[in-house]
Amino acid sequence: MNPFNRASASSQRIQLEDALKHLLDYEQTNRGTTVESLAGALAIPRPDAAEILGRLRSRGLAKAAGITHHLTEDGRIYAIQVVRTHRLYETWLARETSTPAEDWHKEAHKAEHHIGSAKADELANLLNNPRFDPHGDTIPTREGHMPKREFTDLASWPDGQSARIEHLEDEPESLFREIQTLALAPDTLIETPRHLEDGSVKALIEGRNVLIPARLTTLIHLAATTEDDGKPELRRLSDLAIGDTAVVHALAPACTGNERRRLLDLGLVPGTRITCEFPSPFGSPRSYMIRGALIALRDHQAERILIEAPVSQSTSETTSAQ
Amino acid sequence: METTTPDHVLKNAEELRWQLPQNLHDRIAESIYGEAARIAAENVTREGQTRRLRWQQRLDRLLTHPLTAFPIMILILGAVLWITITGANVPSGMLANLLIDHGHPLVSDTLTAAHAPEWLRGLLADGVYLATAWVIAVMLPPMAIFFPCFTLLEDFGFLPRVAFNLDRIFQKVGAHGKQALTMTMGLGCNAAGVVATRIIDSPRERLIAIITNNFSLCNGRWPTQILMASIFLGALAPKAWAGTISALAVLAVALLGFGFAMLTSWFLARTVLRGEATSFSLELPPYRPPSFWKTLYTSLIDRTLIVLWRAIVFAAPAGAAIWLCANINLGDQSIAAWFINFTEPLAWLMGLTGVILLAYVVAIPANEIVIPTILMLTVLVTGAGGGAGAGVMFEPDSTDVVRSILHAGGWTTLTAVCLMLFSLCHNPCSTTIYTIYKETRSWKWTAVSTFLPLIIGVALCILTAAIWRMLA
Amino acid sequence: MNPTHAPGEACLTCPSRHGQLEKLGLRIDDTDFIIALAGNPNTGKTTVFNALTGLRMHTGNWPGKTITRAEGAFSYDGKRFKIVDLPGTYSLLSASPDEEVARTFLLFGQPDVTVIVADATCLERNLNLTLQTLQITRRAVLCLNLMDEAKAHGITIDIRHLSRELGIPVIPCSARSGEGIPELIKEIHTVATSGETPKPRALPLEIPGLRGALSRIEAGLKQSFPELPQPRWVALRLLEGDREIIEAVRTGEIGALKENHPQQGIKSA
Repeated sequence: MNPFNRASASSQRIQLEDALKHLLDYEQTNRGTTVESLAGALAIPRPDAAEILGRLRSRGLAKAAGITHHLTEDGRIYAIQVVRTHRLYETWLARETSTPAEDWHKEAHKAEHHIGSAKADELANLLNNPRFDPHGDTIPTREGHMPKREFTDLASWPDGQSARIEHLEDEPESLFREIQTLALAPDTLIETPRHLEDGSVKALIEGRNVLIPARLTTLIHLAATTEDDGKPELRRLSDLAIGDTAVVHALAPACTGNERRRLLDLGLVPGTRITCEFPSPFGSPRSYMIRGALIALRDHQAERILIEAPVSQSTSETTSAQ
Repeated sequence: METTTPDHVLKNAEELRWQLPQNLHDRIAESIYGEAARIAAENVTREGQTRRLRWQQRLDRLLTHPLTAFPIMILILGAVLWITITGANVPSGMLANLLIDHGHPLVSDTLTAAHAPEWLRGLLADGVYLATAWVIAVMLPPMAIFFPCFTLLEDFGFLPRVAFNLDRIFQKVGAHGKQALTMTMGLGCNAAGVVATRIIDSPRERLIAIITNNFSLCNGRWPTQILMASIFLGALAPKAWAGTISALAVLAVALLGFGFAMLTSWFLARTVLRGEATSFSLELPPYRPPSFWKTLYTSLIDRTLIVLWRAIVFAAPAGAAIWLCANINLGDQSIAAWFINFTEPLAWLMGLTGVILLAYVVAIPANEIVIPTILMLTVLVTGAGGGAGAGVMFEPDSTDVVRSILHAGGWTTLTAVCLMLFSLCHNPCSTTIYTIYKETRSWKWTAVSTFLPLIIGVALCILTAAIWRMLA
Repeated sequence: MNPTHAPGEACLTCPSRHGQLEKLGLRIDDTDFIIALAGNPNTGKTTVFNALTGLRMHTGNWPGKTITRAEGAFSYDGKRFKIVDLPGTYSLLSASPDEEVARTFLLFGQPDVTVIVADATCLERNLNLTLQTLQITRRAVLCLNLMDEAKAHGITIDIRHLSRELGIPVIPCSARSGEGIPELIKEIHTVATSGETPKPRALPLEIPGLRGALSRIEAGLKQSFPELPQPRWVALRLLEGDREIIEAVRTGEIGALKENHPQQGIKSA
């Protein structure tokens, strides 16, 4: 086989797998895939999309019902495997490498077609079998189990009702990058959102007033907060003045993987009293007294630690009384 | 109840996981710390502000204050170097007197009296013995002073503060903050520094730390720096200032090394090892007054003698190799002379001599033997210092001995400056190279770590020599 | 502790007081018991290690100084003890590469006694690791190091109450001056030669759904591996998706933990 054929064979496989993912996506939202929807999703001409569906049918991965197409059992298993690989790879990139967030999807999209299921299982083991990817999507288990979740986006969320980010859409890339610069991540709390006339949303996020542009609101999926949310007056540790003391509320959801585990190990768990002691000559890092030890954190990390004002003296003494 | 197999248990666990909160790990950590806090609160009582605490806080403010932090750090490093340079002079002279002026003729005469053939007498007395004796005379005194000083600082808790102060620079170049710690480890031994990079989690930043570790002057290179600075640079100043000028020169080279490490890290983090800086946290332990005599004793016995032993182990065979190089002829020239003449043009461009380049080839196993090798080669090949065969006549002060040999070898201040730069930037020793391979498991990165500093060093020396000659 | 005895290195090697003690340095063959030295970074584990073995491993006042496992030995009262100095970790929960050495050894290395070295000046953060270690093994001794520092900081610790609360012996010491080391050795000997293995200490984990899930997994584990000494801890690790533990359960290696463990009585005979 000459190299061109091989290249086209592999690109054919990529197209097939992308088409399967599209079918799975539509199945999960109870829609039937059509030639048009597939052509739109893969950004290819209609005849090509029709040909791909034909090939899926001939390989027994999809079946037609009128003008719509649906996955067969084999097709579903295949599609879920591809999705699993993609999400695992994204999780690995986010947790264990220093790849910038906007590259996660792109890199994973490349990798999902080359990594076999054995390799994907290895990756899952390495990551201690994560359940959610960095966008808040569930990662299918190795048995192909993929819990379905219902989302409401920020555009249609009622004013004034606080919410928790469940999931972030990672495409298109330029918009996802904007979401990243706002430091939004799955599980981030959005307090008292208010829709402005131009469709943008103003909300209190981690102690800061943030304006979310209208073009991002459909990409942010929310769920109602559970009762233990809704703590008052959150601030970030990086905003704590030298010599002041606060209590850790939680680690921000944007803080994941190794970084999160390390901070927890150091004792940065909810309720811990923390005092900002002194800065380094350049301002960052600063040193903090945490449970009896002096620990230096860069500002970039301290931004991801949410704090609240210390409660009364007596309670705080029991939390860090040694 | 059905029988449960391990696979069953695993499947069960896999399903149950989905019913647990997403932040399970956070909440477990929180519960355990909560329990720890409860137990501590019940069993520990603490007086409020003690004198000890206030003293520590004041010291921390001073050592990290924008105005005082850097002057103090440089002052401390400078002071350690000054103590080493001025303190090592006299014992070095005494050792040289004992081992070379008196020891060498004794060994040589004993061998002659035992009717050893001339080649054996040359190999053992002028090769093996002389190389070993020089290592001891030149290396032991500075190491015996430098290491205890360094260990005292380490035990006191100073190093984490250095890392804390410098962290912003590491942030800017895209390196990991703990690289500061691995680089200070490298000041002792680069192989140890490379192993120490295991404290860095991210593979990308760890590679950067490994590649740049060689820019920390290791203990095999401090004596080279110190010797060159005191013979050639200190001598330019009035006698009272000689020690200070030498210390400043070595300090400048050490800081240059830091600069190169940062520059290389910056370059790597923007090209082949691109990525975002990962987070790190650094514990600043309380200052602990070091137990002075114990530290002195252990660092002298363990660190100094171990390093010295390594130097001797490498020096003895190297001495034999050097003697053979200088005495086996290819045509009408010895191997050494042939190599020296061949590399002389490149050496001239770099402001060095062919002898130095040959010494660096011989000294790949250990940087410690560079100076002894240079001295032996100069004596054996150029016949300076009266010629080894005729019994070597040396003055009692070792730096004077070295100076007279080197002057006879045609050395100038430029040679010394370029040697100091080349000593800073050249390939790591073979132990370090092997360690890098063991840690990275990659020939590619091992090769990069080996040749990158060498290329920088050659370029740096050529540039320095060219500018020097233009101005002179 | 013996208050009349002046602290110092000399007292440890003085034959009249500690005739049974012999530091064996690197002679680690044919030992009767394996002792693990665990603890947070920078708590002076290596100093304790040196004091016990007579070795002089390099120490330094910064966290992470010891990155590889060091081994040494001593003999006391006719028994030979091998000591393994583990790298310092803040936790055993995270399965990050650097703490893996420590955790794997505590679990699969099956030490006869685990000495947890804690910094007395900040006990709370050291108790975090202590509590986690006690989930894996109760054959442990808490060595409260740096008592001299704690005193200088005006800290007092109720040793007896702490020992009762944790359910393991607590030995205050200042390894640098050698104070408390003879008592530590004696306690190691006592725990090593006593036949009983106490049950792991339970952790209060008030997390919705966790208790039920733990009980179910624990029950399954007890059926598959009746001898497993720490089923609850293994169950917790399974629920956290810990790859090492999952693998050990799948291969059955975890079941071998108890069977391979030499019976204390036979061993000391």
